[in-house]
Amino acid sequence: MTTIQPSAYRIRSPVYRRLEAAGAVFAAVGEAVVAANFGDRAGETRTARTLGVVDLSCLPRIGFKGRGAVEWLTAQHVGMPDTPNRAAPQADGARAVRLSASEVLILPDRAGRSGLAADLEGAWQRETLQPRGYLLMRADTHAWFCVTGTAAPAFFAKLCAVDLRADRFGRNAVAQTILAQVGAIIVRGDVGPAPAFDVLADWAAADYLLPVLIDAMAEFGGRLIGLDALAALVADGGT
Amino acid sequence: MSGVNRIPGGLLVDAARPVRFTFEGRAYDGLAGDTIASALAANDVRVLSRSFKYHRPRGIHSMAAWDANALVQLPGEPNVPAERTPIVPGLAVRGQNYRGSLAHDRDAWLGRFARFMPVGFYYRAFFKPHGAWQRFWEPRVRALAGLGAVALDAPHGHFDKVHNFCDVAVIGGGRAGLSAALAAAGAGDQVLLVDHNPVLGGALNYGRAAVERAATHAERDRLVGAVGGVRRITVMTGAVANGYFADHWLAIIQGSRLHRVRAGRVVLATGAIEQPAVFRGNDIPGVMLGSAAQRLIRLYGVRPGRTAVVVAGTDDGYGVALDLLDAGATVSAIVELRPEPSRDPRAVAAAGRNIRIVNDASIIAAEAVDGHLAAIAIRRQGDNTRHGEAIVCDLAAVSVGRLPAYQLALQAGGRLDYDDARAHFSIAGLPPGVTLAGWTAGEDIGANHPWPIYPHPDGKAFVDFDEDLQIDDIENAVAEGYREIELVKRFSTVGMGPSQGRHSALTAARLVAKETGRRVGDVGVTTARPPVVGEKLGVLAGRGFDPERKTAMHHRHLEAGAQMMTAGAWWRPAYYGVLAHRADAIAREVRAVRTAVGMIDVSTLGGLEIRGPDAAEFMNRMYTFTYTKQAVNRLRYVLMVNESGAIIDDGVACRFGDDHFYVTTTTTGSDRVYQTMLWWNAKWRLDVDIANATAAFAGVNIAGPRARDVLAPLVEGCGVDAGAFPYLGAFEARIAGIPARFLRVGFVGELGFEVHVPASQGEALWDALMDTGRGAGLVPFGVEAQRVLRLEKGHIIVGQDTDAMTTPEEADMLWAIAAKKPFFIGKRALVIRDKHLSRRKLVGFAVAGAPPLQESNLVLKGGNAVGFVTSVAWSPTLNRTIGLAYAAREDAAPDRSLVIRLDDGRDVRATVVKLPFYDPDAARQAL
Repeated sequence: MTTIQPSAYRIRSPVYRRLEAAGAVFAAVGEAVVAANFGDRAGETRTARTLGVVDLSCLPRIGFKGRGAVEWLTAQHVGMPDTPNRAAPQADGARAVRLSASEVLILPDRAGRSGLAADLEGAWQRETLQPRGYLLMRADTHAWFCVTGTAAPAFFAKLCAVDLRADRFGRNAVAQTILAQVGAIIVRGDVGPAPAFDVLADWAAADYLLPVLIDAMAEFGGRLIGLDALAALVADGGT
Repeated sequence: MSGVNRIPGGLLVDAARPVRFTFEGRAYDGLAGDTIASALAANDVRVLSRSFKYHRPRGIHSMAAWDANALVQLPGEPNVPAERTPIVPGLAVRGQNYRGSLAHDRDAWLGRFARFMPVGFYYRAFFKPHGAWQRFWEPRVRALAGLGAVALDAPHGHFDKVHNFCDVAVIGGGRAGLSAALAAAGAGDQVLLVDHNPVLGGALNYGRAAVERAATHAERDRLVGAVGGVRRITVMTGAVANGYFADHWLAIIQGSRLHRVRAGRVVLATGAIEQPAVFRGNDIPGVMLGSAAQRLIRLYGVRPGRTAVVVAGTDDGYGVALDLLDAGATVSAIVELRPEPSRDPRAVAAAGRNIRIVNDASIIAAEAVDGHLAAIAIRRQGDNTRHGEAIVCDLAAVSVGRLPAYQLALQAGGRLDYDDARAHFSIAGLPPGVTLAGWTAGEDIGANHPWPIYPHPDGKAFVDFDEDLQIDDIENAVAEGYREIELVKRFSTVGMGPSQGRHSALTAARLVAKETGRRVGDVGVTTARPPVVGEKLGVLAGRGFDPERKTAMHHRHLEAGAQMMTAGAWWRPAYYGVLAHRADAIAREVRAVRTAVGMIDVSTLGGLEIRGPDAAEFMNRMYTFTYTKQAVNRLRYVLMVNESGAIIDDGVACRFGDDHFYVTTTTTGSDRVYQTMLWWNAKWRLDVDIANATAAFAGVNIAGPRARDVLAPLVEGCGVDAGAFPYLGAFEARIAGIPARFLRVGFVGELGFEVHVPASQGEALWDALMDTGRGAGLVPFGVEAQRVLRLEKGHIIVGQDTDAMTTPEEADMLWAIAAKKPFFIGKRALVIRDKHLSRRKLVGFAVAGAPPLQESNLVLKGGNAVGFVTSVAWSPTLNRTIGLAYAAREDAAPDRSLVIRLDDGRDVRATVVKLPFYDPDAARQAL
């Protein structure tokens, strides 16, 4: 079995070197390369319940913005939240995250199986009807880290002024805020039984942000985990 | 036995765990749970420090760290509050502010010169003769100044900050705070209960409100137990609420962590601060507040003295006397300052235990032997002798009244009202959502003694212990003309020390009221501001966040040996090579671009997507040039000026569709340009979408005569020869399988292609190009080389060659102004400014040799500064020093001579050169 090396692929996570240094075992997910585990699947799954962070920066995602964007997406049968700062789960596990009256971010499921982002992009390019909003390259403007576990709200309290306590920031809530001095979009969407927070922040600041997250996690025993741990949690929790 | 004064009991200490520490080099034994002050008191050590100005010996006064008397020095840290800091095995404690030893301070002579240092003396002294301050006084004052000493080699601490949220924040865990927390939790609120002490209970733990203690203990146990059983109450002990800020935002410090708490509402149950009596010698070690004596007894199991006098201006003094008796001290007398005997049950009990009570008495002085209390001299009503009666004692416990702990309440907008009848302050005027409870609200607080102030002809009756201010000093400040308490404070420094007025504000208000013939309530106290108690700079600094932005190729630069530099928050490669050979590296990179091909990472430059039916109109309004007729797949220069006509940014606009412009900005300008566009379009409401794609695109500029050799093998879907891809063309295609935008630009004056790809594929692009380009001699080049290359072409860098005033006319850029457009931002200002041209122009210049010219060196004419150098560099291409500078308008012609002043004061002559220095026909970039 050949080892997958991120540098052999065109699409590379902004933090792939840090993942390599931490002992990541990579897996290909479509055109993307993701850290599947760090050599300790069982331990990482346990950690994911308390506090873990996984890099999902390479998974495909896309944004739509401007006049006609929301209407066009609705016409494509994308379930749309009624108000900004909410996410709507889609049938294939993807989420439509409404960031404003006229801006939507399409996130795939965390296993990267959803083809919704690519399908929508293709349909938009082929479309001739106006207005239908404009595309945003969300896989390259933002890096994506998913923070899971019951200690996540206490961990975020060290970095972010928004109240992310479980009973105040529920499933599918969205905050557009500042995290460790960088702008971030935080989406709550649980993984099996564990609370999970998707963090999207400036791609160019990802190599600064990830060590900050890991350092702040240390107090709670948190650490980097791989995609396998998320899958194991989903299998446990049935979602 | 951990100290001669140790007695059984002590809520906070563990008699089974002794702890050895040192003070002033001598070893002492305390108990686990002791603070430095309580352990020293147990060992009969009375003197803890020397006072600020007069170097008087000082010791425990409040036992609650309310003042500077008990600040001590630890090896890594100055000004540590001994009354709050626990001892740990091996702790090495020293006193502060002495020369020689604490016991024999060689600077104690300052106390004898007190009458030469009246209030405000330093406003008049030290300045004559001329130069006396700098040469003689300042070094001496500086050596004497301050209390503790900073250890520059102290080990770093770990500090952190965290956000915290609650429905109700209750500050203070005494009876009132515990009750308020239980009530709020019972109503369904999430409660945060904060107390400064290691355990909850407040004054229930040490006060004596009744003759028997059992009821007090039972109440404390009930309340503390109830709080412990409620999940909705989060308890923080050892935590101080140090500031109240708008919308119920509290700064709470616990250990090394700052909690930024946002509360739905706030209950202040912060208790009250016992007040001193003012008499000669009231600062002598052994004179302390009644509550201080009780804290020592109840919390730490320490007898505060062997032979005590209690000064009772309120009924609480009798509770103190009973506690002292129970602790095994002899109480020689209770000096009752009020005219009538007390009928409080505690007074009756004290009399019943045969304590001598002297009614209607006043204090003359406290007297010291060897730096600590030896006797109190009192005067009974009708005694007209000079010296009164001296009572031998080693402890004077003073209870004359309390002040509500008003600091947080006043920070929240409350004010203090004075009740003349009961001689105390109350708090009123709080905003919605902030309430008071317990003593802070004036509940059960009793009346204060109205005037526990006893001046003495020989002085040393201290109003402010921290600042060594006596009664005379306050009276003299008023005599100098400072009638308002804020001015008295500023002139005298009363209340400006670590105590922040806790023990001086009430006395100062009373004295100023008397001296100015006003009511105490009309004088008031000075504004209370955060912090309530001293806070370490480390806590404020906390965890630092210093965001950095890196391009997708960042690590490839490091691997290639780049010296990196910052551009805003970004890292960029300055040059590739070692510092010692910087100039050579830059010259090598410049030559590579001019003769073969080089590649620079331009990812940091801003990229904005302007899309929509009104895109061209929007561009026409934002920038000076014209865009409506710009063809698709062509790019055009953009120049932005502000409403005053000053240049603020530039770049290029690529038209990828009728309704689509992709616009670049300078690295440090991208956020500002984006915000400016959003702001203007919020007014214009043109049908255009503006998106900031700066981070989304990684980019390189491949420049040099062999640029096509590098690109041709990799580009798909587009030719790179001159016919397919002319100068100023812009195309979308693919390179090495990566979707890309290609721009033909001329910034460095060679055949050049910018390639922009999605950031996640930027490193792959760099790798492919370096691999393919090797054969053509491709080398990476950095920002320094790029600056030289563009300078050789006379191209400006906005923000370097332009300042806040530069117009396009000054920079010879009128070609970039489309004067016929009806509107663009700044047009009106430029029309006006072009009618009254400035006195300067930006010109190119050359200098013989290589003098040490620097940016900002002044251009002189007739002895006056008429301009300055904006860019200067050695040009490897032209083999001479060239630059850009603002010069007098009349000198802005080729071959004119300029005088430039170097940093070392020499002048050099420069010659004005027509721009560009290199390739004036612009043939090379259009290859």
